[in-house]
Amino acid sequence: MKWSVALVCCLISYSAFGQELISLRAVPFTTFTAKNIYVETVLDERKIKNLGEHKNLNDETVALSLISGAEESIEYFYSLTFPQDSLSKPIIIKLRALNVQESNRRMNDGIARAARVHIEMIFCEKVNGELKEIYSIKHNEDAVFDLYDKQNLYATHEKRIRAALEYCMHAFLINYQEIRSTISNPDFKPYRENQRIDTKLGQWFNLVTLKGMQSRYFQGYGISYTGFVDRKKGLIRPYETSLEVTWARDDIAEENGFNEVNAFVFRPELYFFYKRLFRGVYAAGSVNVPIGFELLEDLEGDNSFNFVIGVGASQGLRIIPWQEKGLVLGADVFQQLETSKVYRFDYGVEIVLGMNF
Amino acid sequence: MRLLIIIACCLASLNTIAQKINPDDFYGTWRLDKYSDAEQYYHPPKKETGDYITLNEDMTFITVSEGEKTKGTWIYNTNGQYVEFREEKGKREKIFIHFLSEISMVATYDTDEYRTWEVHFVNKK
Repeated sequence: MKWSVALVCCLISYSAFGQELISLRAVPFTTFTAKNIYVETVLDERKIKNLGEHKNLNDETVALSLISGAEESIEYFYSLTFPQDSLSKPIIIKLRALNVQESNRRMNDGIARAARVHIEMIFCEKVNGELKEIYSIKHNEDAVFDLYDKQNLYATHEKRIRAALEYCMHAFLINYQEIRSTISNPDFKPYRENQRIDTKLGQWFNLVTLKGMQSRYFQGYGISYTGFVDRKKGLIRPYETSLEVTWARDDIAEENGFNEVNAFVFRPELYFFYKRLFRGVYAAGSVNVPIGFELLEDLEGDNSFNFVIGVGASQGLRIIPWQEKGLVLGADVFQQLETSKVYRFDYGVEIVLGMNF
Repeated sequence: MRLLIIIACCLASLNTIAQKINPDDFYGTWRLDKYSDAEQYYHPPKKETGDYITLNEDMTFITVSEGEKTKGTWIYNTNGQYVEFREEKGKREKIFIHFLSEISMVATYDTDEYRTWEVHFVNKK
């Protein structure tokens, strides 16, 4: 038994450390600038030297790596386009990041699979024997596939790595003082002057929030889970599920002939969107279907049960100041039409407080 | 969804028989001719008639989209088989090139809204 356990452990660790090697195809590229440089050395400064762990086509988790290491592979790739000669200027590249990512994301009405190569490079030249950083770039090479087109997605990681390497070189050449004069007015700025880029594909936010609700007829609390992929442009379509516990205000319950009215409601979304207004600030809107039940106690103390269903809408704001982890604040106004024993149409406000992780 | 799968298959098959693109063919003014999906061709809507992209040899471009003019820098990525437009305001747009000759260019925009369409341009020299 001991042996079989040990054997299973060995197999698990073997597959956990399985590796697949990527060989970059030798495709030289067209440059639109002078080519009087060559890449002398690539220094791999990444903490993790592989490209990331992924499920291969056999559904095994493997670490992807470049076949002869990142340094040698990239040097060779660039040498195809920039052969070394005595007139060329040697360039040294520090590789700060190079990884391959995959993630689901919403696309139009469905879900698509997205792939990314993320790269960060610093181009340097030697001045008096010391490395001088002259250009730095962060870049994402993205592609979108059908959700089930795993084969095509997996097979093209290699192509995106080449495209990312090529992209960084184009951007560097355009900005490199010694040859930039051949191009008029380049719009490829170094990243520091440019917008921030997401290093992770489809930055997925998990929010768990509590809300305090106050309406014309009810008050109460709710808890929600919201998941969404952040995006700067367009509408974000989050997934949300929530549970609410509410009770009719005393005077309202009495007017309707009850001592107490408590309601428990789920709120699946029909349509729900966030719109990024600024970094960390989102407008939120939803159309939803409240569904649940009311427990009613009449003035004689008898209990009864009422099934509730309806349609609701809400409009509000969410503030998520810290992207990685932290506080979430929000406020909404809401309206709803429900089969409640105490109202048909209700409206109110809710204050949201929670965490993102 | 079915349409998306068909188009993904078409794109994949285009990829496997990818023609070699001659970057010199990019230069010139490309007028929007038509759209297509896996089933048929479509005329561009009225507001898009007259849309074009001019790609200059000094890597500058001018596009007119729905009458709106944009300028900036363009670059062709051989390995990724796409053209990136970097507008003066910093906005980026990417089109994947499926076919290019001196007079014809077929591309797909890298935005969800248009991802399932192929866009056909003609270059009347």
